[in-house]
Order: sequence, then structure tokens, then C-alpha cells
Amino acid sequence: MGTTSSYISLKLAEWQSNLTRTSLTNEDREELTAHLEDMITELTELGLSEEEVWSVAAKRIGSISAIEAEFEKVNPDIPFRKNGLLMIYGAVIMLFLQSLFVVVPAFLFRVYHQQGARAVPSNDNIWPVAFNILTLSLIGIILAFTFKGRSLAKTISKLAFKLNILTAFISAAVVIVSGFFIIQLISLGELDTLHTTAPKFKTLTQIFYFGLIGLIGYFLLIGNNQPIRTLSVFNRKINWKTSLLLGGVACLAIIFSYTYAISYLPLFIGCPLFAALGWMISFSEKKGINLFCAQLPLILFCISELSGRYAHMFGKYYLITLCFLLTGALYQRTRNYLINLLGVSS
Amino acid sequence: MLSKELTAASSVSIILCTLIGGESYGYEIIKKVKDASQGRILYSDGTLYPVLRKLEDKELILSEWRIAENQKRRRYYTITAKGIMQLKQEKLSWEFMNGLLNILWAPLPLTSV
Repeated sequence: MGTTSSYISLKLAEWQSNLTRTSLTNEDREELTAHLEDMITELTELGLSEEEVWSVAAKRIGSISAIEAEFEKVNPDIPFRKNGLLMIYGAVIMLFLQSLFVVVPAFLFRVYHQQGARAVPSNDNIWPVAFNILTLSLIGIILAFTFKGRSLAKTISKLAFKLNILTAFISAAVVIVSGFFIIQLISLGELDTLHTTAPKFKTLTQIFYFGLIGLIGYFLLIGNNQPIRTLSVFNRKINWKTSLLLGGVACLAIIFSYTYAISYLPLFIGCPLFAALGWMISFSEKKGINLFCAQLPLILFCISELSGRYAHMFGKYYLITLCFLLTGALYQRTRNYLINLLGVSS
Repeated sequence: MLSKELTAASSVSIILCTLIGGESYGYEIIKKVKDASQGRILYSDGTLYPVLRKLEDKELILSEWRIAENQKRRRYYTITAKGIMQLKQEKLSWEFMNGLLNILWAPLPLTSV
């Protein structure tokens, strides 16, 4: 390959780079590369132009995805290894985020207060601010993954590949550090004597776990081959399971918001969510069943609260959110009806 | 050009046959098949190697990395005794198939099609 032109060298390097992203072993890659180089040498000796040489050689060796698929047939263990690796990376990223946003801040808060009890009284004002900043950062990350999830996942996977064996060390470090901090976290609530920090910490953890629930729901939908490329396609394909899942998420948002001492917050959060859900379901095929499933988590929650002190209030909340769900469901039909009516009359 | 299915079904026998004459490497195997079939069987070159892996797993062939004449590392394949036995079986099967098809399509005027 000493006489290979810079064009072919470049193409070959690009091809090799793509090959390294597959599940093929080093030996498989080396053998395929040697094969391609032999072919290029032979085609070059035939007097073909550089472009022709590369075009013919690349066509003959076949597409990388086809080669990988053939190797996977021979070694059925490959998909399992790939999925296992993805699972491990997912768990490590999860642990890292949990440590960064929940466990380490809580641990530092604890250490800070323990030191403060022994020496000078501590300045508690910085903790609510710190938790607010973390909450905003978390919202930022959630938004970034919502809008740029695909490219971010690609970048992370590239980075993991580049770091290679270092990734394993980083993963182990994350697991060990996360485990250490979790063990240290005992009786955090007792330290917040003024009750200024706990609500901020609560918001942070709720957004963290709410984001996580959203992520699980999203990947479950992808796993079930639900078409979610666009909202309108997704709306048309909503079934009872999706409705139940979305209703559950909206119900959780209401439950979370109820833990704040802000009047009518569950309604401010729940009504728009259920109205949007109703609007989405109005495009689906089995609207009745889907609407029933969407409100099911909320009514189950209300039933579980029937014997409690707030049964009356939850009953009202349920009825109001149900109205919004139905309003959302009827919105599109009413709008079309009015447009037709006005169009005809004009 | 032969169908993909037939090419795939016969690939094990064909690859083992190319190794009967002596050890060989991937690129050479492809060339031998192409020459012997006068270009009528064209493997997608990259897909040959998974088949070689499968044959090696079944101990029908052995592989060894060596430095080739161009001073590069190359993987050479050799047929094993088990591979030769397998090839004999395959030969019998294909001869039977050939005979069967000859009997079955004898009345067909294939030359006029």
C-alpha cells in the first residue's frame, strides 16, 4: 500500500474509523482491512482512477452494517454484549447524575452542619441558593436531552469509545464514590432546623426523579416500536397503555406539586397537563378507552385518599382536572365545528 | 447470476473446496471462487469472513496469523481432517441433489426457454 494515493488513504482511514465503531474484534477488523488493501492494490494495477478504485473496492467489500450483521449471525453473543454494555453505561450515567444532583449535595449539607454545630453557627442561606442552582441546571439538562437528545447520546457514545479502557475506570470510580456518599447519608432532615433548605432539596429531587420517569417512559415507548417521530403521528397512535402511562406521569406531577405549601398548585400544574393530554388523545382511534385510562391513575389516587383528611379536596381536584381532560379532548372537534359554521355562514 | 439463496447454501462446500489444494487467505479464496465460477458467483467480500469464523468454530478449518510476502500480517486458513470429512458428506449431498434434479426436470425443454 506504499503507492496508495492520498485520496484512497483518506477514504481508507474513514472506512477504518467507521469499522472501529462496530462490534467486530480487532482481528476481524485487521483482516478486513488487509482484504480491502489487497483489492485496492489489484484495482490500482489495472489502471483505474482513484475514485473508481475506491468505488469498486468499497462496493465489493460490502457495507459495514451488512458485514456487522453477518458477524452477529455467527456470534449471537454480540447483540447481548452490546446491550449489556449500554445497560452498564446507562446505570453509571444514572449513578453519576444521582450523585451530582442528590447524594453529594445532601452529604455536603450534612457535613457543613455538623461542622457548624461544633464551631461558628453556619450561614444557612447558601444552601437554598445552591439547591436552586442545581435545580436549574437539572432543568437545563432535561431540556437539552429533550431537544438535542440524539446528538448528545452520539457524543457520549463517541467519548466512551475514545476513552476506551479509561471508561471502565471512570465507571468504577463513579460507582464507588456514589456508594460511599449514599452510605454516609443518614438523617439529613434533622439538620435543617429552620426548614429553609429541605423544600429546595425536595424540588431538586422531585425534578430529578420526575425527569427519570419521563426518560423511562420515552424509552419504553421506543422499545415498543411506538412511532414518536412527530407529535401528530404519536397522537394518532396513542393506545390504552400509552394513555395510562401519560396519565400516570401527569398524576405524579399533581402529587409532587401537592407537597408544596402553595395554594392550588396541583391545579395549576394538573389542569394544563390533563388538558394537553385530552387534546392529544382526541386524535387517537379509541378516544373513550384512552380517556378512561388517562384519568385512571388520578382516580385511583383519589380513592386511596378517601379515608384521609383531604378526601374532600382531592375529590374536587379530580373533578376539575377531569373537566380539563374532557375540554382538551373536545377542543379540536369544537374548533372544527366552529370553523365550519363560520365558514358556511360567511 | 446465481440466486443469493443458492450461493449462501453452497458457500460452506465452496470454501472448503478452495482449501483442499492448500492453505489460503480470504482475498485469495474470493479470487479462486470468482475464477472457478467465471464470475458467476460474486460474494460480497466482507461477508466471507463470518462464514470462515463459523467454519473455524466447527473445527472444519484452522487459521493462523503469519507475515505475508508483502511484509504484512495475514490470516491463513487450512482445512482440517474433520473439514475433509464434512466436504465428502457435502459432495455426496450435492451429487444426490444434482441427480435428483436431473431426473425431475428431464422432460422440460430447457434449451428452448
